[in-house]
This record gives sequence, C-alpha cells and structure tokens, in this order.
Amino acid sequence: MQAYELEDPNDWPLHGLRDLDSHLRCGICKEYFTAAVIVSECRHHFCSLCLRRALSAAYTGVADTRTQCPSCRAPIDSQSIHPDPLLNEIVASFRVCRPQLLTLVNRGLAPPETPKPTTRKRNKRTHAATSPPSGSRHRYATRSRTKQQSPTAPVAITVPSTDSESDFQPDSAPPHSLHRTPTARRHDGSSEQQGSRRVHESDTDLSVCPICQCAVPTSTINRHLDACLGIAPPSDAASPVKKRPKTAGVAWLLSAKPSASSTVSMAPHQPQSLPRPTKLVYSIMTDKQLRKALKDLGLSTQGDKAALQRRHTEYLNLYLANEDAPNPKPIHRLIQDLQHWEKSLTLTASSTSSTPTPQLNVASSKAHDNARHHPSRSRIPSSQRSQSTTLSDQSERDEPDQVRRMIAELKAQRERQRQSKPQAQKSLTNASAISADAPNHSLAKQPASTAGNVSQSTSAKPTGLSVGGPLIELSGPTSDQTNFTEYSDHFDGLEDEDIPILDAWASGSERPAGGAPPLSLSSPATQQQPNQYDVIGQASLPNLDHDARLASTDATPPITLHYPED
Amino acid sequence: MHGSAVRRLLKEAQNYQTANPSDCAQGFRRLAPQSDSDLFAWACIIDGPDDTGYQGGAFQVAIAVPDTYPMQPPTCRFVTPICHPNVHPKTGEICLDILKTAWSPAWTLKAVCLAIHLLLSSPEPSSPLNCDAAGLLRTGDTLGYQSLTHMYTQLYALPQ
Repeated sequence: MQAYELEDPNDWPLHGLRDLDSHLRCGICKEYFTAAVIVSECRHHFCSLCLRRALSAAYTGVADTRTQCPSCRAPIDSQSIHPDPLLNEIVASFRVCRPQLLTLVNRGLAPPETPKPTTRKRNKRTHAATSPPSGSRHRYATRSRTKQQSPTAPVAITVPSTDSESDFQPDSAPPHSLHRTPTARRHDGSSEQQGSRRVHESDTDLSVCPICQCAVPTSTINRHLDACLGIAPPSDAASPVKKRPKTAGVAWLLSAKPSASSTVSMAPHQPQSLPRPTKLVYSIMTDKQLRKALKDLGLSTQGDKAALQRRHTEYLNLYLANEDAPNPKPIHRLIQDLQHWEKSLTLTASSTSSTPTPQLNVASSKAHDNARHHPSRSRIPSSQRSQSTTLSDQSERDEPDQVRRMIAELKAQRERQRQSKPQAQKSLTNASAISADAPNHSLAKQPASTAGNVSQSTSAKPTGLSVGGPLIELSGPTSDQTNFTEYSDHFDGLEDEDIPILDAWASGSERPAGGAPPLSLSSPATQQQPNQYDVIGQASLPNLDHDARLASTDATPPITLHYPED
Repeated sequence: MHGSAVRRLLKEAQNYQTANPSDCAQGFRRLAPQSDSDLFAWACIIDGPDDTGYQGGAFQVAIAVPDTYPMQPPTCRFVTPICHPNVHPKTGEICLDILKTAWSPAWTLKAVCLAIHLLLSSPEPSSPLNCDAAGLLRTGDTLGYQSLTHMYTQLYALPQ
C-alpha cells in the first residue's frame, strides 16, 4: 500500500535525508527498491524486475542499448545480477520509520523557520485563547497549530499551573523553547545565554520524556510518564516500534534467508511442479518449439511468434525477479501477474494506435477486456477518452485506490500551484494549446489558430518585427534601418558572384557596428498579407535541396527573406 | 508495463512540482503534463543558452511518452520553430542519440530536457537534420550561424 503513495525525496526538508531517500530508490522506476539486486561489474543497484526488463528490452531491440548498465553503460548480462539482501533490509527498515522520522524532522526544524516575533505574538494569542482560568494548560497548542499535525500533538498533557505559568510569560523567551526536541532546545538555550536568566533556570528543570519526546518539568515527569503511557499505546509514539518489527523486520528477515538458494526454496510454494523457465534463443526456434516451451511452463500458447516471445521473456523476467525477492510469490501468482501484464499491453495497443508493439492476438481476452471496461469508458467525457481510458482501466485492475488517489493528489497540487501563480499557469495552458493544435510541425501549413497566435504575439511586442509594411523593419538592438537596408542591398548584389567576396564579407569588414544579423529582406511586390509562417516557411527555411548548393559553394549566403510574389 | 509507466510519470510530475525552483537545473522551465487527463503528453519550455544565437528565446518542446516508458525513450519535438543543425526544420524532430539508440531507463524527462538544452549550445553538424544550418557550421561560418539562429529566435521564440 505504501509503495504506491507518492513519496518523494523532496518530502525531506534536509538535504542529507533527501539524498539518503533518493539513494534508496531504484534508478529505473524511482521507487524504493523491491527485490534489490547488485550488478557485479559496476556495483550499481536496481530493482530486480526493472533491471531484467531493461535488459530484455535491449535484447528484443526495442532500444538498441545492447545490454548495458542503465546507470553507467557498463556492458553487463543477466549472469552479473545478484540479489542484495542487505539493501532490501535497509529499505524495509527505512520505510517503516519514514513517516515517523518525517514528522520528527519537520517538528525539530520548526523554530528556526518561523520568525521569532511572529511566533511570540501567536503564542500570546494562543496563551490568551487557550489558557483556562484554572491554570491547567494544553502545552502543545502552539505546535499543533504551527506544524503539520504530528500524531503526538493531540496527546494533551496537563501540567501543574505553578511551573508552566511562569514559563508562558509572554515577556520571557518564546515558549516553544520549552517543549522541543533536544536539538531545538540547544538552539534556544544558546541564544538565551545572553538574555533572560529566568528561562535558563527553568530550562534546567526540564527533562525529555522518553515516550513523546517532549520536555516536561522534572518535578512532574512521573505524572507525565503515567499520562503518556496511559494514552500512548493506541497513539503513534510507541506502537510502531512495537508492532512493525514483528511484521516487517523479523518475519521478513527470516524469509529473506532461504530466498538466496533460489529454486529449492520455491519448491514448497508450488502447488503443481512447473519447470523453471530458461533463457531461449528465439531466433533459432520454430513457432512449434516455442509453443511447446510455453505449454511446459503452464502458460498460454495463443498468439503469433512475437507474442509468444514477448510472453516468454516477461515470464522469465518475472520468475527471476521473484527469485531475487525476499519473500517469493507462488508460481500461480506469477502466472496471474503475467496475464495482467499482457492484458494491459493489449489494452494500450488497442487504445493508442501509435504504439509500435504489435497487437496481441488473444481475441477472447481482448473481447473480455472491452466488455469489462466499457462501463468505465462512459464515465469519462469524450474529449478525454483517448488516454485516460487506459489510465483508469489500469488503475481499476492493478491498484484501484492508489493510482486514483495519486492522480487526485496530483490534480490538487496543480490546482494549488495554479492558484499561487495564475499568470504563469495561464501562459502554459496557452502554450500547450498551441502544441495540441499543431500535430505536426510543418510550417507551410500551420493551423490557423497557431499562426494567429504567433503573429499576434509578435505584433504585440514593441521591439519585434512588424510584418504589415512593405519592408520588414528591425528595431531594437539590431535596428539601424538605413544601415540595414544598405547592408541588404550590398548583400543582394553579392549573392550572384560567389565565394571570394562572400568570404571578405564574412570576415566582417562591412558589418554594422551593432552586429546586425546578415538578413536580407526584400520588399514584397504586392501588398498581399501572408501570414508569417508562410513567408518564412517558403523562402528561408532550409530544405534538403539546399544541400547540393551547400556542397558546391563553400560559404552560404546569409538568409534571405522573400515574400511570395504572385 | 503500462502501470509502471503511469506510476513513474506521476512520480516525476510530483517531483517537478514539489522541487524547489532553485534546486532545479537551469535551462528549462515548466516541465509538466500538458493536461490533467493525459499523463503521456508532456510539455516543457527550454531556455536558449547564453552566448548563442538562441539567447533570450523560449522554445516549447512537446514530449510524447510511450507506454513502455522508461524502457523506451520519449519522443521529443520542438513546437517553436527553431533553426538548429539537429532539429528538423519542418517537423521539429530532434536528432539526439539519447532519444534513440543511447537511451537508458535511468534517464528521466528532466534529464531529457537538460540534454536538449545542452544540444542547443553544442550542435552536432556531422549528423544534420537541418542541412543549411549544419552547412554554415561545417564551413566555419559561425558568425553566419549565430545570426541565422538569432533571427529565428527573434522571430519565433521570444517569450510572450
């Protein structure tokens, strides 16, 4: 479940922890390692399945990467992949304590981030608001308000008023110094050594509760401990430490051991004894042989050779990755996974025509798919259908909640971002509208919307080029117009006689001081108003025919813009 | 395969949103999916590198991500017209080895954008898609090349 939450190294406020987090992630899928393996040649780590898929993609020629390490391109093959149980353990224990650690770190970093005067003011306010006349106090009021809700925050600890009343005098140091983690306390202590003595004296009275990590007056530590222990077990502070090692740590460690001796440990899991798949050289096998091999493995034998080959490769990857895993799945689960994988392939192949992967010929399963997923199609607005169909289908099958939750979260984030920077976002959508409208880049036939958009933007800015007049004007740094026209004329004259003069010209003797680009803009014969794209596209955009000309002359004349004359 | 592509793309999308802007590598902006409904079509704005003809320009790049990502490279093309030896003048197709043969699944979309940004400042005229621009470079007319690229940037790529 946790694996599909959008955990990101950027969650961490500290650079060191950010690095640590990213080092515990696979370079291919960017998730925490699952069934980590090490490559013996270059000692890089990956998820077993990720690496095997990457290597087999190279084999089938999807990407011509040969078999290289994805990180460093060292030549590797499947023989050089070894499981790394230690890394698996490290990742597992890090993930167990991640949420708690995150809370603690965020809490510990709180005081330096908030500017002091405002905190004090806020504390005054909360002081006034939350202190009942009786004197007992919710000591965590400030923290729970300023920080994200830490699970410990709601644990209300009451302390005798005599001690705390003096601590919370608004004139003394900021009260948050009293209930901080030890590091934070050190900060405050050092800053107050010059200042008030009273806090220093009260500071010595405090000791850190081992359960909720809060500083409480030493005189009341016993009562506090009782309160903590009374409330703590259902709350977060103690329970993860007690519960999690049992499920994740120990059991996991025990199961990790036998997995090293791979096939032997698999045997008890198998309901029926299926043979271990081996790597095949598909190119020398006939369809028949391949089908037989698949049948022996208990896999479907439908489809053409490419499909059979793909199925076998994926099954081999799944199987080997399963062997690397700390707690391997039974074989029939693997076969189920394989079927899911194939279905998702069929689905994407049928929904996106651009996919190069040939469609699977499993007619029955495809029909089944369509029938099954049709209802979901009708829920989506027709404009969004093409891709989001596959998205939602996928999410329905694999991780129903998680993917959907992730998408929702992402949308929420984008919404937030949009609110914060409406301007930037607006122009982005504008820009993406362009790209959506223009499926190909062909300049001669731009859709009207694109051309309009561009010309609008060009004419809007003051220092650009204005197209309407008979002569294109350059303004701004390159704009000395007389100079430019002269220059163009000069160049027009030159164009026919070739190289030597051009070379002389290129050496820059007559170049205007401003460094104007060597444009030669001839005026249009008619006052036709072509759109910019047409002009540029026809006249100046290099095409392949120019290559011959380039080969014959050593120097190319600077670009010439002609309006079409008809 | 498809599921893992979705997860990874979501992850990358979130990563670019939460990343501190100052942490981001300079050279490109606004790397994000084009719309909320389609995670497989991204867009990005590449800033023209300083000291080149592209300086000051903002070039929009459309990134089409295949279902088999990250095992297969994304397909990128310039939406903004650009004059560059390794960019096709009509289609905007980019000739860059890491987008084709030298792709590695450990690359991210961010790395791709960075690579395209670097391609702008170090063109490779020996495998051109735009022969005119490449010809200028091959004949050593860097001044002409600079002017040509500068003109295109001024015409098309100035930020709005």
